[in-house]
Amino acid sequence: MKKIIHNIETGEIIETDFTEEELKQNEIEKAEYAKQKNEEALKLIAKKEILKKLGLTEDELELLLA
Amino acid sequence: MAAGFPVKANYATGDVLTATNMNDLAGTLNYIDPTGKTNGYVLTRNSSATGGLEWAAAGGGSTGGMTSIATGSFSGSTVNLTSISGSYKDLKLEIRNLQLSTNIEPTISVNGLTGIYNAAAVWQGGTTGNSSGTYYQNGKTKLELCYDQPKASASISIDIYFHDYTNTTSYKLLQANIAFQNTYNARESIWLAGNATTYNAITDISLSIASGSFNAGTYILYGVN
Repeated sequence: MKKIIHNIETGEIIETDFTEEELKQNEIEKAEYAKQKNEEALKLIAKKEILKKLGLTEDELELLLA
Repeated sequence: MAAGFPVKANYATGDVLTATNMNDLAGTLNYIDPTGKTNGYVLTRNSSATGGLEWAAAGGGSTGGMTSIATGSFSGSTVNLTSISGSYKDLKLEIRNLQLSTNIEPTISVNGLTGIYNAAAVWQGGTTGNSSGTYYQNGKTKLELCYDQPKASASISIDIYFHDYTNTTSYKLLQANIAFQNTYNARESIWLAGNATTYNAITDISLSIASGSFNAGTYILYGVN
């Protein structure tokens, strides 16, 4: 992975590869991101099931909450 | 040569003369050397400076004035602005036409720190653009700037304001306005207020994505007085 480093004091702009440490950090962030997206997807499924039980559409829910 | 004329054989391009007292032959005539000053600097009043004038960044002397201190283009998966001057009151980062290679939320961090970002946000968008709501982030690794995912190759506009970024006694307040097209093809806008829980002055700002790359986009960082 590449990154741009712009040193504002000198005006120098360089493109460089991620360091080993940055790559490890990026893997951690990707895993966190995947976990977060999975949780959001599960919440969405749960929400749709509740709406189905109540017999409401998304639009009707939004109208109630508005 | 009149009394008080500065002792200097030659004057260079850009030298400026300023008088301490033109009615007094014994008064000193000073010259203000532009050597080493950045193009675009202007002469500004400063009663403490020799001759009452000094070279300064345009707009730098007045309250609310903004000075462009960095511009560039996005590529790679991280853009890191380093060695940010502490000479201003606030910072404003404008990001235009940012485009990503994949559907993912861009994030921001300061000083290379992780896990210190908190925010409350109001969003409008969702599947049709007719939804709205609020969300929060607490102790996030990096601050996420979008609620729904921006669509790959669609244009994202982001303005971020960093208040009192050099203070060393309180957390750093930041506000962001974001507009983009999400993966449902709906228009989405976000207003976000948050903080980075660090007492250190901000000297480094990074915008990044966890996967994919920046395909396009430009940034301007302003110092605000």
